[in-house]
Amino acid sequence: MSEQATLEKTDDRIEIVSFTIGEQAFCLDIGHVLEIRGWTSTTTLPHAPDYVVGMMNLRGAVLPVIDLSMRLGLGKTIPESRHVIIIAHIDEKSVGFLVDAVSNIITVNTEEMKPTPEVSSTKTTAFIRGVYTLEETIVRAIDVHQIMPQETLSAA
Amino acid sequence: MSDLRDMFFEECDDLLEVLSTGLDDLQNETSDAETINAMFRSVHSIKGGAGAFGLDRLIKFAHAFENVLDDLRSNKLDVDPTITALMFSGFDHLSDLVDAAREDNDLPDSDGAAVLAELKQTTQNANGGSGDDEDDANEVSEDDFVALTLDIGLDLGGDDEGPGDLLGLPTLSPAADGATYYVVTFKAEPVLYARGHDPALLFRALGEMGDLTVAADRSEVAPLESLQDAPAAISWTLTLRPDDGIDESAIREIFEFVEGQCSLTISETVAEDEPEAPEPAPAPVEEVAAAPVNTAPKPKAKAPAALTKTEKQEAKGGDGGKKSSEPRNSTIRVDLNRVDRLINLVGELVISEAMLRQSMNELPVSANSAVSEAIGQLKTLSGVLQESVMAIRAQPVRGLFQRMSRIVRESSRQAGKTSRLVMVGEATEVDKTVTERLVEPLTHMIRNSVDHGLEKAEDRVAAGKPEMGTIKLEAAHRSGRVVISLSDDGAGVNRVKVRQKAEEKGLVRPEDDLTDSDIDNLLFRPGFSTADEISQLSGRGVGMDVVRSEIQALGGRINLQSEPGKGTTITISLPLTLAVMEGMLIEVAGESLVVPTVALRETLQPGQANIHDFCDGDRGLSVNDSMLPIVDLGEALGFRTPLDDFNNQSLLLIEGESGRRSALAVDGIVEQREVVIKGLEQNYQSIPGIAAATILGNGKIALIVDTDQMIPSPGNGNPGLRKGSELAEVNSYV
Repeated sequence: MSEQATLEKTDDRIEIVSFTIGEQAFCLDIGHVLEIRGWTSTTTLPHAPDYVVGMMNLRGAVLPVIDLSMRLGLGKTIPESRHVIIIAHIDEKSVGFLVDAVSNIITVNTEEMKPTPEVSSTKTTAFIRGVYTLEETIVRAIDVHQIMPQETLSAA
Repeated sequence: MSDLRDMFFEECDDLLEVLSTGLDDLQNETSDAETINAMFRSVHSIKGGAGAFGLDRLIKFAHAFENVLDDLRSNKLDVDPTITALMFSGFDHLSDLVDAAREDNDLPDSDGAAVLAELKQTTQNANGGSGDDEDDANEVSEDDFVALTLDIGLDLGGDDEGPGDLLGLPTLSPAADGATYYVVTFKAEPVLYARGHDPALLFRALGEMGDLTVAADRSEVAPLESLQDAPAAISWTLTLRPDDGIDESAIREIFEFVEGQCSLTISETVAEDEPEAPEPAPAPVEEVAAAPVNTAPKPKAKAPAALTKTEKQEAKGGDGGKKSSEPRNSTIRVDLNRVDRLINLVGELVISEAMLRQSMNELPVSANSAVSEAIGQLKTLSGVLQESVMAIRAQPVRGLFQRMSRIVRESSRQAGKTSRLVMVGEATEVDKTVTERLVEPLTHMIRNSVDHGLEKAEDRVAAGKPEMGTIKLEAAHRSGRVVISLSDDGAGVNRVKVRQKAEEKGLVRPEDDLTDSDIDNLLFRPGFSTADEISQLSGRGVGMDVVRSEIQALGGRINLQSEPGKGTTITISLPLTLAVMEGMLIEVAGESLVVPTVALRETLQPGQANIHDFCDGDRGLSVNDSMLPIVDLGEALGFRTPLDDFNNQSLLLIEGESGRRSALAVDGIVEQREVVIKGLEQNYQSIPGIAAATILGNGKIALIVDTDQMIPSPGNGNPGLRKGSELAEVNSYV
């Protein structure tokens, strides 16, 4: 992918962080991204959804790490040192996304986002807001609000 | 201005608390002379502050209240139940007025009118029905000042020896219409003039605050022939009928610049409705002017008397609390955010300290005893530091309880029942956030207790109980948590009715087998309300379920126990602090976990244990003649499949809030240590069986086990386990 696509500067321009999971490219609005870290071991949570890898310690803060691959139905990631955690801040919560690799930071025009194809997978429609086409590559824009672990019933 | 306003309302809270404490003392007959003085000072200070912000209704009401207290103080009234009840109503209305003023709301005019009238009536009766609001009211007029009243709007004369100008103007007699007057006596020291101040300007400023009458006392002025310029001989008596919103502190402010350069007294009087005492005769200008020396002795003779009286009042009433010599703990107000920041920092410090200690231990030989000694000291210090910091946020629950005493009174009145609130352990300290967030749930619980818990008076008598119901609010520290319990001596939960209602609402099925405690706890189910008619108090359908969720949000638990005919007790157990605890570090299925030490009773090695098998792989441990359920922690948390035997396990005997015990089977016990609690909800959500997390010395996260959820309760299964299966269902969706 190229450095900095040359686009007219309009209000619709945003920066995105693109990353890969398996063969697919995804992206997040950079506004949500706090930092990018290498893989660190996490603490397993009991009764957690399968896509929640565990809790990590980020300088004293305790936050959950989500296996994005698992969350998107692309299979479980066996974390290794080559994996990357994107620390994001979404809906007042901090969360780590476990991904294969971070590719680039690109400026895009939000008008260029094409709608998600109407496929039957509920995950696709729920988690992908749309796609950007960048030099032959399809980059899927993640719906950050939907991707967060959903609050489960907490009866006592 | 808004800062000052906020500060005033914060002060009001404190003052109301003092007042409430005093009222309780009066009611319990544990009061002494100082009690009423303190109450008087509180009301007076509220009035003073209210004046500064022009809160007329508050001033008026506080004034009437203060008068009654003053009569009590001067023994014109005796404390009896009627008076106490009146003062309780007065207190309630006063708090309402303060709240309304704080929110910038206006209460309906009718609110508190009855109380106000009653307070006034009480004062009137106490003062022989003369209509005197306050005995000092007559002071001004009784004293034989030749009160030469001046229109301050006129030129007072710029020169210091201005009495000539001051005299000879038409006298305005203070209109006696029940309004508040301030009598200010002012005598300048020579230094005041030396510094170029001009009393006339001060008086003029005062004149802008209302109708002002000025009288000069020239008795000390030496005859012209012996007149020297040095001593400042003239003193003035100023009577101010203040405009709205002017209070003593406003008056004091005027004289602030000449503080220490004059002798100043300010006293407050109330003129009665009808002018009684003869007004000081408006002295003919010519006469006074002609014979100043003759008139002089009179004020001179009387002035000291007046001063004594005003001094007395100052001593009695305090000066808006500002000059009160009453010993009090000195406090400062600090923004809560600053405290929280400090608490967080100290939390980080404790973690760093633990990390340091751990890496020290990993060094080949920690031969350097000086280092380990220093580290030991650091540990002690950081522990003390943490405790002290946490103590900043701790507050006695007294304030909270006192608010509840009002709820009891109000709800009893509305429900037509008589009841009293007994408070135990008000000094128990709890985190400020916790007390604040307990207000709503407790209010609701108390309304419920009065409305549903207590029987009607005739039923009580029939049941052989005293007509007056008792509601008991109790706070205590119990094994590292705060336990607040609310009990009533009412009829207890009507289980038949509750069950019937629950079935009607489809909450349970008729064939369900429910224990008494299960039925009692149906009250916490959403949408449950047993009142036949929806009363004004409760029964809005948002009942105990809201209470429960609010308590749970605080990391607390709520539990209801009821005994038919004897009453109901609701117990809330809350974490003491939201930050640190002692824990036992254990290992299960390769994970490090922490079990809170408070719940821990004993640890057992397998050899000592006597394990028995039951159905479905359930196992029991016989200890001291009793059989405890064994919970395999690894299995309960879903870390592994059930173990075949516990031969290699350590057993931790834990005891929950309810007093029930169970044995936790774990792989190994590492050590006991202090851990900093990190909530899971902030970035994630609550996890069944887990109370919170902490960070270990090596930077790894360890989860803290919620021991209460690890204790199976009869008929309830293991909540931790059960929720696990619920979760699994939820998660299978997307």
